[in-house]
Amino acid sequence: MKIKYLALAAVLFSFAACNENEDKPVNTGDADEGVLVMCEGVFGMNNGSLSYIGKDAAGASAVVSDVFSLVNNRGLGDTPNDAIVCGENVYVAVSSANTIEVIDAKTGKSVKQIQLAEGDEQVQPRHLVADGDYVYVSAYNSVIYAIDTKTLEVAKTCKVSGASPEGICAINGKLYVANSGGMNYPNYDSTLSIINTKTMTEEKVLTVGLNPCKVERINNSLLCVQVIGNYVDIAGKLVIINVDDMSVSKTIEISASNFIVNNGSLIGYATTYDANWTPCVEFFTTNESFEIQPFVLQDSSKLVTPYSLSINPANGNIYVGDAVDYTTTGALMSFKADGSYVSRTEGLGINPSKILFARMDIEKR
Amino acid sequence: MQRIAVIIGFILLTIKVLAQTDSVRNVQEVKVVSQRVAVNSTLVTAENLNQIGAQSVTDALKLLPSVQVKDYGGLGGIKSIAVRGLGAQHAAVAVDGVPAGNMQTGTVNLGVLMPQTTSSICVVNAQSCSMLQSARMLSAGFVVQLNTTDSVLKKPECDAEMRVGAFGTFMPALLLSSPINKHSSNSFALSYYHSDGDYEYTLNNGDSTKRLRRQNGNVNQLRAEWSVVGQGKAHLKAKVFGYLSDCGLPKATIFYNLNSQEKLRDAQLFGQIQSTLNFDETTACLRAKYTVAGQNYNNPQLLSNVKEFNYLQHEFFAGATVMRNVNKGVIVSASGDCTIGTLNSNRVDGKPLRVSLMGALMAKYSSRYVVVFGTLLAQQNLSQNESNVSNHSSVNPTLMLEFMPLKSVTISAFAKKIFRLPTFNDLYYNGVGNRNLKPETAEQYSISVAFDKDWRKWLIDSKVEAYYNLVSNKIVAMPTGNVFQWAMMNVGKTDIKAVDFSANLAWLPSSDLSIKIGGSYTYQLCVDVTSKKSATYNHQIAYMPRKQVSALVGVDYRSFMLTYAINYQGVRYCMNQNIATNRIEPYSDQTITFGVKQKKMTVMAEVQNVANVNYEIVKNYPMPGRAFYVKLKYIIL
Repeated sequence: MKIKYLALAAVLFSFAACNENEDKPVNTGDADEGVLVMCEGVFGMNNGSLSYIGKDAAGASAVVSDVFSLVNNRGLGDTPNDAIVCGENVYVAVSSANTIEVIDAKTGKSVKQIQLAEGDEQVQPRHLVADGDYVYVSAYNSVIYAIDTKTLEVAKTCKVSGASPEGICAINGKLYVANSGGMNYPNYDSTLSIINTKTMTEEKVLTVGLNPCKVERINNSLLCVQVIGNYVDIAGKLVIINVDDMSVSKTIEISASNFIVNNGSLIGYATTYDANWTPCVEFFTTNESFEIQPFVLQDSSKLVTPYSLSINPANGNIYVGDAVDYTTTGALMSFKADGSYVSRTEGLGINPSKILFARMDIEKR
Repeated sequence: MQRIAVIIGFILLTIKVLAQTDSVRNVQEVKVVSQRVAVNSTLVTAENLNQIGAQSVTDALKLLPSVQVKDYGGLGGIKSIAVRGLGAQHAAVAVDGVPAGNMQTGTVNLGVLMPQTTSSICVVNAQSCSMLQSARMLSAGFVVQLNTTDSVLKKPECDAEMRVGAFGTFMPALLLSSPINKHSSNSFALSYYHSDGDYEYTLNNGDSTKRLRRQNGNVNQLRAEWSVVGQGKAHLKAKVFGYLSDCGLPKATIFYNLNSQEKLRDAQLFGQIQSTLNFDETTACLRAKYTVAGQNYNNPQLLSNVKEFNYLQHEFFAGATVMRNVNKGVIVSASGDCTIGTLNSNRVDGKPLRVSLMGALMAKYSSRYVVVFGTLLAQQNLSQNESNVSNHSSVNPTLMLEFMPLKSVTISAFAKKIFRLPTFNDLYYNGVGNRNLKPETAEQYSISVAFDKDWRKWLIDSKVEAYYNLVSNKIVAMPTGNVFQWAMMNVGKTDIKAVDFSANLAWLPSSDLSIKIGGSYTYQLCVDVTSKKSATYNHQIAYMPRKQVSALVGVDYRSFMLTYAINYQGVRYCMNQNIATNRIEPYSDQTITFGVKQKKMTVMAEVQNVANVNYEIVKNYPMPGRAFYVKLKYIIL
């Protein structure tokens, strides 16, 4: 059955290469007509999903809450944690399943399910980054996997010295992995592992602050690490690191829940909790010297629990995933670059935690 | 250990003062067709347990109206019940009248106790009408009473029992009883339970269907119990119970990752005593209990440095109730309790300690037409760990009324407002606990009409009940920012409106034959009313079916007995949002048992889940399919 409302003679978004080293934004075509949101679901429920928001024949926005199951007749798996677009495929790190699901970005069909675990082993893949011919995977078993994007096999692995690796980014042939130590609560880790992709060996370990989580490339010489702290007395911060000499170029004192890089500056949000765990969310941006400025989103009261953030490189629109109460269907809000309200789409999967731009042409198997 | 020795010494001294009645066995063999209990309670007898081939004391409770058994499928797992939409943590559990507790999780595992020595289980809504009960039994939303025999033996008895069957099940038990003197007897019971727990189940993932075997479900449990019963001017019941368990903990059927290696080891020991003394118009009841419970959870697959969690709990309890007949039809009583609990664990911050002091006044007026029962419970609870102290005190009144316009008709009603305290886990669990939690409150209103009639060879009892419960400040775990950082919060309000209908009919045409038919139907609207803005507003809460039906048919002919039981659970949702992806289809679970009873030997054959239905009570925790068991009981002495 052909799904009419998604029938777009997809001129496939042309992710020219996986190489994130190029500063120019990748052309995704008119990707506003195609947003793919990875939703974690609820731990233990086998309800991780990919929700697709496209336009129907009449041009109205339509949602398919679980594209993967619809197309492949099986579940994506429990707790997907990260997804990226690389070449013609979407790679999803399905944490509880120990798998990397490689999906055709146009059709949603599974190209390959890569099982990372052998025997009784648990891997728990966490984050993904594409660089050159490989997609690199950080995993809670402290192993970094290099998946060859041509063969879709694990080509190489590298053990890191830190615990519970989370975020990963690639700059100039090196990988930077944040070792959160989150599984060893309350004894968090505080290091960043630097891996040479040619030899797949850990070259250096840098202490960056307690519980580092997300790490993003800003440009060829800078990266930003989100340090979470311990949720009690050690506050979070964002640390800008110069990779040329591995020095801290700036520390931004903000307990950011999430951030992304936007043309050499940062945009993100911070969630603070009072003693009763009542949340308070504030968005921020930085200028190019990383000074914090508040950022006001119009109609932000509609946004209950921001859970993901992304900017569409095609038009600069800001997308925010809303987890609402973490147990019900999620939503996606979009804003213009200046913060003015564009739309709110309901009926996504539970806990939308990664937003990708891809235009799909979905056919049910 | 010294304390136990002291208690045992005390028991042996007291026994000499006590008197007697008949044998354990004779009492159990009396055919209990319909046993009249208070309108707000349901009694399950040892015979009922036997009839449906119960492996655990909770197996029979799933047939009761408005009762939900929480079962993760693992044969050795924790067994607990929710009643009328109130979770297991709202239960007060008593073993032979003495309260049992678990301050760490708030849930008493009913599966720990020995089914072989259990003579009855009584599930009571709101609270029992007993005037001699402990104040602590008034502090919950519902009551589960587990009782062993009250009889004093005149001659020694010895029974051996063996249950074997599906999944390598092997359950031998030995029961020895003997008189100590004219007024008292003691008994000793020992049982072991092994199962491989590797039952087949169907894993559905999209259009693929696989038949698989459940992994890591093995069960090894050892239970031993020594109890003393004495009767006379005073009535005494004392018990020492020990439990050792080493089980696999089957995990959720996670797609593409079914490997499961979690292990749970439990050790529990308790000693308890209850003594009732009569002086003219006054009766006093004294109780004491000490429990030590250790638990070790081990998961070699955890990707953390610590792969083992240990918990050690101690609970001391002492209480007294004094009752007095004031006037014709008027009884008053007062009760005072003290409970002290501690927890020591590598997963819980500090070393939590809780002291609960409870005092209650009870008054009852009964006449031919009316019973009025009022209670006033005052409690003071102090919870603390190394860095936090929280106090909670309250006074909770409860009123229960019964009106009997005709001999066979009873109209009853009650109103109660109570709460459950946050558990040690809720308050202090590593990274999750929230020290600012308030208690979760439950308001209960109920009205029922019961009809009871013995007519020639027919016995009929039926009951219609309607109730309204409101649970506020629900204690739930919520993620804070990411899936790995959760916290306990007082979020949520549940509104519960329901009707229960139950009826039992027994026909006893001759002394050789008896036929029983019983059934119950529940329609329960149990909806989330936390916030009108929420996507789950007015949705049925997770795992609560709207419709629940059960039926039981039993035929006893001479030495043969045949029982058929069915339990139907309507549509449920695995999350609070009632959408298609969260829907769990209805299921029925049917059981047939057939038994032959000879003078010395009883043989029971059981078929569980007759239709081989593949179902789950909790999402992704499959239950066993059709299973056969045989139970042999031999009277040695």
